Amino acid sequence: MMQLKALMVKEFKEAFRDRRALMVAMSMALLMPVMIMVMLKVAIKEAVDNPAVYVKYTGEQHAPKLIKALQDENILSFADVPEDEERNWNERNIELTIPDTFVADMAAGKPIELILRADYNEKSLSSPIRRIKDIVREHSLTIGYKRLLVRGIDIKLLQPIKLLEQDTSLPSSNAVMISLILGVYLMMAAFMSGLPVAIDSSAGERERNVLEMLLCQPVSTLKIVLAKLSCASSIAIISIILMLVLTSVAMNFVDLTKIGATFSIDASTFAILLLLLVPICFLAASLQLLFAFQAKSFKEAQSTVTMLIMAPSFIPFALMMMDDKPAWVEWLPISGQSLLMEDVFKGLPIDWSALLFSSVATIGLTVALVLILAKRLTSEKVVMSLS
Amino acid sequence: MKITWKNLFTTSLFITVAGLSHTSLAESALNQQLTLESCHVKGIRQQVQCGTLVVPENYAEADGTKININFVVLPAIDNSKEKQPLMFLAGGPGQAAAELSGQIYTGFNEIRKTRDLLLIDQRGTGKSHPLQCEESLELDPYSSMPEDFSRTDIEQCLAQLKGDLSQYNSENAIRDFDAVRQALGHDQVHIYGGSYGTRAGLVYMRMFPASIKSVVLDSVGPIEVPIGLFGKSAEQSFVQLLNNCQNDEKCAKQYPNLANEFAEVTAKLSLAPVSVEIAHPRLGTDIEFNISKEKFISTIQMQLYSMQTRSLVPLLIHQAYLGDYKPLAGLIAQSEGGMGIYIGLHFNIVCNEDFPKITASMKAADVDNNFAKGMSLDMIGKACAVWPKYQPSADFYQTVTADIPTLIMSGALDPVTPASNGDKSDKNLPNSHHIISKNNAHIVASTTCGISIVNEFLTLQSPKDLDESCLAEIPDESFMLGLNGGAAPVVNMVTTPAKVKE
Amino acid sequence: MIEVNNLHKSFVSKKNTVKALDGLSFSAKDGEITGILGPNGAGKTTCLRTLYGLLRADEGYATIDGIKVTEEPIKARKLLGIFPDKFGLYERLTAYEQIDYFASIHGMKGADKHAAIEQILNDLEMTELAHRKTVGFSQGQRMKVTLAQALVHQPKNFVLDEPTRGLDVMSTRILRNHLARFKEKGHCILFSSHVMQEVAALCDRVIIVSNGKLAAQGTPQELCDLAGEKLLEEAFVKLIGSDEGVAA
Repeated sequence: MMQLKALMVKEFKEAFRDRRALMVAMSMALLMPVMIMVMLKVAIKEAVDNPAVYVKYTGEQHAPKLIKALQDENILSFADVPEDEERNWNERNIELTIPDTFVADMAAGKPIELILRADYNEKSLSSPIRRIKDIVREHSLTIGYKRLLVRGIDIKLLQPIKLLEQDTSLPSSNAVMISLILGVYLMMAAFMSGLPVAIDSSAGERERNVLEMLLCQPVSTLKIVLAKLSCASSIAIISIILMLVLTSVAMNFVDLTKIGATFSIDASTFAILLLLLVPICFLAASLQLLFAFQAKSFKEAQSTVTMLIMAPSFIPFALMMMDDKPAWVEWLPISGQSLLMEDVFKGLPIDWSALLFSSVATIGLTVALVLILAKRLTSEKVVMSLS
Repeated sequence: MKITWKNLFTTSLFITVAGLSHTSLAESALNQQLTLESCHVKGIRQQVQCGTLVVPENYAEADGTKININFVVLPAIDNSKEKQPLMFLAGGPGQAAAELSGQIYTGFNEIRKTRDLLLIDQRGTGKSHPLQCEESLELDPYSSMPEDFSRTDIEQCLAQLKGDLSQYNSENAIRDFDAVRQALGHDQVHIYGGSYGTRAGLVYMRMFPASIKSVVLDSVGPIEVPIGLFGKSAEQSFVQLLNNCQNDEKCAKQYPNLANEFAEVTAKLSLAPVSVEIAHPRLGTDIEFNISKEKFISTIQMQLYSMQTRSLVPLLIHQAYLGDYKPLAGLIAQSEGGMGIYIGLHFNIVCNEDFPKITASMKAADVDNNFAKGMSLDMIGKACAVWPKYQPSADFYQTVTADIPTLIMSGALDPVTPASNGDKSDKNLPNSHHIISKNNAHIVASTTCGISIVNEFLTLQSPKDLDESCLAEIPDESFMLGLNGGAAPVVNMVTTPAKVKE
Repeated sequence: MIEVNNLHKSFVSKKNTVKALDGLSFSAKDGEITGILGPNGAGKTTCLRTLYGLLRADEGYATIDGIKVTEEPIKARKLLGIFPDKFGLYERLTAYEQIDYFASIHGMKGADKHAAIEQILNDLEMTELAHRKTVGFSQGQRMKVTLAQALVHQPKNFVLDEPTRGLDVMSTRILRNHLARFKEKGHCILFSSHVMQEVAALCDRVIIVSNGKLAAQGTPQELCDLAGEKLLEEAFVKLIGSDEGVAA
């Protein structure tokens, strides 16, 4: 026990003094909230379906109700454009001309010709133009309906065929995407954060010729592995905690209601996410150590192990693509946790048995990997590669 | 004939949707009777959830006859289950909430972003053991008169209804709602009730206060005000319309004598119904169009419910004054096919829970008006005279004082649930706030502003701290000024054509 | 007391099989410094690694104070101080922490451990180095740290694999002095080298290994006599039958 403690104390000391590895480990945690923020900002911008559009009206005094209808949909007069956007909208130059005969033609029931003038090739104008057209059409239709109605015509006659659409796709939204991406990112953080530390304490130590010395000491390889594992996984756990804290702080700066999202990391969500991710951290650390010890050099460890370790963190992506998920994926390590995380983000109650099972499966796999690694470190192959 | 009298009744209904509740009697055994699956409902392209829950027809006899309660869940856009759902209590009584899914889907979009919406067909409506009277013969609404309907029509209707009518009451409806809530695993829900749905909401608050997180009562019909006493409120709504026209420069110019014109037309019609030749609004064939005073006024009264249709009223009166009843025919055409009211349930509740509570003095006071007089009450009275009786529980008439955050909303122009109704409930409820929207008729949440206030309330849960500033931006009433006329005031362009069509 | 008995070890790879040890036997007694001399590839490092229990012999066995390394590696290692051929340091630890680490691994604790570390730091005249991080240490300083960590638990047996490689004169002297002191205390010291002068100057007994076998053993003088040469180097060349791999 004392040996293990000494081993662990040393691993932690080394890990925390290795600022570079630590920075790499924490960079994911620090980047995450920034990424989420940026993504949310973009999503919100897209989700606000009625950004202000400024139109240069001519003869707007003739059709106050049409102008009001446009205004209700955030299509405003160029006269009201805020200064900082003035140049922009001046260049875009959308013109709507309402003829002087508007009132007279309306009363006479003659067709009124409005002119909408803009650069239809300009991509940024396609949505404003579409909106203006829609509103004018709606407005025109409303008047038409009423004209027929007051002539004693059943206005349902104007819609002989009504198409009822039934969309069988699964509903999705920005908010769902965000929580899925957060889930994937957390999973990646659990997997990647410990990596620099794990490689440094395995392949790195071997390259610095300190591993052989350690293997010659009267200490079991299991303890050595456990010490390194606990260090690497602790770094990953710290990274995740940091990420969650920063993310929940960052969330306060984004108005999620605009895109109709409810997203908050409260204490219980926090606890459940940790509960889900801690076993993943252990599993990740054990995989990293196993592969890093296998690598021929520090460099190889850094490149190939990183690649290899990335693979499991893509499991959540794969799950996203799967439509019919077989039942067993709920119980497997990584996939189980990532499904449960999805539930957490959706606000569904936690399936504790699935949580327990996938945690046990994950820990079990970790134990197996640790034992394999401990065994491997006593093998001659590892010793031979020392020099 | 039937169509006609049904349409007439809709004028006396609270038109809107809402209402749910739940039942503590429905224990876990009922949960096994729940089905829930993805489905499509009319008016919504996306998939939603449809479900049924089996409940006893009579909660005192849990092993007795069972009925299915049908409901629709409109899932939150963000797919989260984090926030408590909003249960929508439909109006009427007799509207089927699930049938309103399409309207709610778009109208409550802001709320639906983060909350599930729960629409339950009240027992006796929709697919929950509907109490509907199928027409024996299709009489067209143009030649027949609303006042023609008779005791026989009601009796024919009654003959079609199945089940123990005494169980199709408001309290049992609330028990159903609460059973659905429980079966879906929600500890608490928010409720939105509009029109009669506010009555249902108040009953829910009294029966199962622990099931409710917060309440929105939109256009309130409190228990203290029996349904049917619409004489005064309809008059007031109509007078405001006339005043608003006179206060509007263009309208005043176009229709300077509107009140007189109305008086003259009604006076003429009360002497004898008028008959004119028109082309059938839908079929185009030549028909006789008979207009009685009741038909004229009841059609106008129906237009008073919404700002869109109110805009047509001056033109309607003026043209009638000129002898042109085609606008009237066009409006009647819109309500052809009924208003989605399950008339059997409507009478079953109104005739037992409200009509007996109307005293002679209340009636006398209500009839004393210059618009529809006692028209609504007369119609209801005819039906109630033959309708089977049941005795609502004594608790039913208790004033509701539940300490639940409650937002009360009224439209100042409302012809059926005047702001004074909202004041009554506001006074009785300890944690409530009453918002009156000046340029609003029946149902405040039909406007973008109204729905945003509801949404804010659901989030903040403090009825007194809401931002009501957008109400001031709702434009004053404006009116169609000629047969080719200017556009109606546009509150929400996208939904306007749909509203007109319906 | 270290004994090596009839060690055989082959390394099998796809291409060929290399016989690293071919029946090597010798013993290093307490109170003596025993030197293993052999050309590159003679099997010195393989032999020592077998001694640490890092490698398993195909045949034969090694014992430390009578404990078979293969059977009880941890117990055997406790009796051993090791100075490996390629020593590295934990560069983010201070010298003290590093020594402390190894002391703890050997089961020392509390005041005893502290005293032992202070003792070894004094012995090796490296108190000033103690609380500096080992990154940037000179070769001599690194050697001292390695020596200190190997000796902090006062092992009965001490194995050094080419310890003086890359050391300057001063460092080599310190090492030598320390080994001499250990010998006086009755410890068993085994070290491999291919530097003749060093072996000649330091060792009580020399074991010459060639092609995985014991080529000869005895005191330096005995070996010279055996080969009939005056200088150990000449004797060595003669004894292994070639001058391959001999360092000057």
